[in-house]
Amino acid sequence: MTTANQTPTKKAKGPIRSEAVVPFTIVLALFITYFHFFFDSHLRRGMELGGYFILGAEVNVAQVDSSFLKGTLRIQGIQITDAAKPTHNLVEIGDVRFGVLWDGLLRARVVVEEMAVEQIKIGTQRKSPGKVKPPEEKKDEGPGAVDQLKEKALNKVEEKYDGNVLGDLAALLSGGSAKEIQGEIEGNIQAKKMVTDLQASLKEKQKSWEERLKNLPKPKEVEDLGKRLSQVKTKDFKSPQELEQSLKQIDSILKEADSKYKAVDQTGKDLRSELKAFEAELKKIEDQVKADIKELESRFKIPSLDAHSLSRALFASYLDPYLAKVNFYKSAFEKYAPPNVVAKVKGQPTGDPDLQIQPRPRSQGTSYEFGRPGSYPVFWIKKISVSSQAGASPDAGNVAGQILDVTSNQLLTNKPTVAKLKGDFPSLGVGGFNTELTFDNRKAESLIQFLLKVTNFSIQKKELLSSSDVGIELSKSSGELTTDLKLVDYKNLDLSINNRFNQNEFTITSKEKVAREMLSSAFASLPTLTLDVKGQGQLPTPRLSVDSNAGREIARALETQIKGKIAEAKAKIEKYVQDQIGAEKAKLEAEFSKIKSQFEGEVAKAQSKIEAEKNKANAQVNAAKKDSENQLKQKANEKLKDLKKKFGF
Amino acid sequence: MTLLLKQIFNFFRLLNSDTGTNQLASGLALGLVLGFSPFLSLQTFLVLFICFFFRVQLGAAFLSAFFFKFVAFLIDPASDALGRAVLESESLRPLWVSLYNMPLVPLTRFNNSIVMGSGLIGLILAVPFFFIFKKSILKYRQTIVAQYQQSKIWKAWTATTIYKWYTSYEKLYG
Repeated sequence: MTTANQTPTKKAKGPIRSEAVVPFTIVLALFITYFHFFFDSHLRRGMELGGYFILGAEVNVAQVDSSFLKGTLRIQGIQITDAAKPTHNLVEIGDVRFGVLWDGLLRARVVVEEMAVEQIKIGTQRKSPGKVKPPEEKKDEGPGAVDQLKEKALNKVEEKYDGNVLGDLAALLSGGSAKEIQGEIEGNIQAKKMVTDLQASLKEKQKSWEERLKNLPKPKEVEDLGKRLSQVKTKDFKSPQELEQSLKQIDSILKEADSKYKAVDQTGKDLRSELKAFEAELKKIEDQVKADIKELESRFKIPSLDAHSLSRALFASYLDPYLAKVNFYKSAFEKYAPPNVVAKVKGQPTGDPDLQIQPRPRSQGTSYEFGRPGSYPVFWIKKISVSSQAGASPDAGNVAGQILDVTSNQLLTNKPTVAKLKGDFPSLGVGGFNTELTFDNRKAESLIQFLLKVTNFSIQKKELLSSSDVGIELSKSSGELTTDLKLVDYKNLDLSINNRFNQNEFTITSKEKVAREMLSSAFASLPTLTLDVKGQGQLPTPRLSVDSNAGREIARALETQIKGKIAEAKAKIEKYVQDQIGAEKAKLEAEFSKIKSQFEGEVAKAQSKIEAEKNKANAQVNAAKKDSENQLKQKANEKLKDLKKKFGF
Repeated sequence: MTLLLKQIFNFFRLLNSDTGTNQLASGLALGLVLGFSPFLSLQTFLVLFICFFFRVQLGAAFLSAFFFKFVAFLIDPASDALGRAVLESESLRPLWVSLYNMPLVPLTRFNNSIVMGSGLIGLILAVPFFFIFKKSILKYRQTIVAQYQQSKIWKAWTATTIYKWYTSYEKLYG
């Protein structure tokens, strides 16, 4: 029993916080509840958001089911919007299932034994148009955003195939081009401006050269030297002192002449070098004239009858979207691929791969991968089994294949990534689709090899060319495609794309009847239309060549009728340019030649005069020396005779 | 948030009392380790578990973690350099290779240069700082708290009814 003034004493608490059991259990229960009821939905939204930012178009995921204890994930109803056509999906995948190994998870690695991908559909209609990511605004730090790169890639492609060659040819058939040359190019010929500039420059140079010539020794000064020289005694010296004095006088005159000669010589050298530089500038006018003519030919759309240009122009709109897509995915790869791979793509030195240490610099320090043979890489999907049956849904394709060893570090798995897929998409009219991809990053020089063969694909209303002058549409065709790509060290490209189009129906429109008839007959003579693209060289600027029998056929058909017109138009432009600058150029050249000979003559004259005086002085020195020698000899003989006499010889 | 605030108030109350010196010092030292560790890593969960399981003053741990997180951020370049030196050391390579391939150890993210550098700094500093914290707390109590308790304001406050009620409540419910 306790009294009133006794207070209850608190029991001393031990080192273990036993009262925390209840709050800890509550927190654990909350975690389990979250993962059981909400995690899958949040993961699904995360996937949609991540996909949108990476691919630049809306990504939808119907359902995600994950199991923490089993380590499994199932994703159903993946739809990726086609950014170029938001009403349709680029691809739709019905079901993706995989399980991760706990063995790997405990080592902070994601290792998937087998992933199943089923029900693949391509180009399906969406219920509502997908959202497409707007292009990002340019930042000061320079490019980097995928969209900026995509835009850049598109611009590059457009630039490459700039110009509507066939349209220009059609216009030329009607005699339209190069008609109003005079009015349009007035004041735009760079060579003309160059001639005017050189004329002004020549005037300035003339003034400066005249100034320098004025500073050269005057004829009177040279004459004075001669006079002074003639007054110096060069014989009959009475004493050695007299001889020495004469020699000194001659030497001082000689030095003076020499300094004047040097001044003239230097001026001559400077003048010659400046004249040479000016002459080089004059020669550049010729190059500028050629460049002006070329520029005007392109401005007045004087087309070329080169079969390659025609092929490129004909299939530009057919190839552009594919090239732009390749560039877009290449940019995305560079943005999200592991840093060591990106370094290789950008051509930065990475050295030979080392199995034991793989540094991967990130913004937060550098993460090292300390692998050893047989150990798990950070990410590894051992096998992806792709299977899809056309009967399952109207848009689904018959696809079967495997993708093996998708990994973040092939050195550890010691296996390349290999994908083999084949099948067909009956709803799209695509049959005999067969592809093989090998990605080997185990050696310093990585290798990507891609083979694609499509036995037949149908083409409906494919617009090849659309301009105000000519329109060419491939209304109906059955195509066949073979692609072979080899990329070594992410740089050296060897690409070959061969297309064969059979059972073709063309729709050709043109304001010019002649052009329409000519193109119709050219295309009609082609039972099989070929399109061959070859790419070789270093990325990002490999040499791409486009060739088609259509280009050759059109060139042949047009040659007889249009060749003369092209030559005529070219000659017209050349004549106009020559007329514009020819007279001025000749005047400038004549002026320059006159100035050149005048100044060179003056310098040479001054040089020869001084040289003559110098020679005279040297001769006088020699004469004085000779005279003194003779005197010395004579005196010595006299002395010898006296001595002989004294000794009685 | 209420729980967190309560822990922080408890920290100040304990600091100004005569008990719980070890709880406070260990809380501050573990907070230092927390501050130098990345949030999503095995060692963070381990330290948090120790804090919750053992009677470590949580308010002290959180306040210390908050403060040392800034310190760790400021010395990130030094941690990065230290981490690189340690991880790139040829003599330690076999150790890292075997640790990297062991279960659970890679979850500490020791293979990151900043995590390794700041983790080492945190672990090395934790033990001496435990004793420094302990000594500082005792010194604080002997000088500042004792001096304050002698002041007229404090005496006047302890004479109030509110204070008496508060102490009675404190004794009964802690």
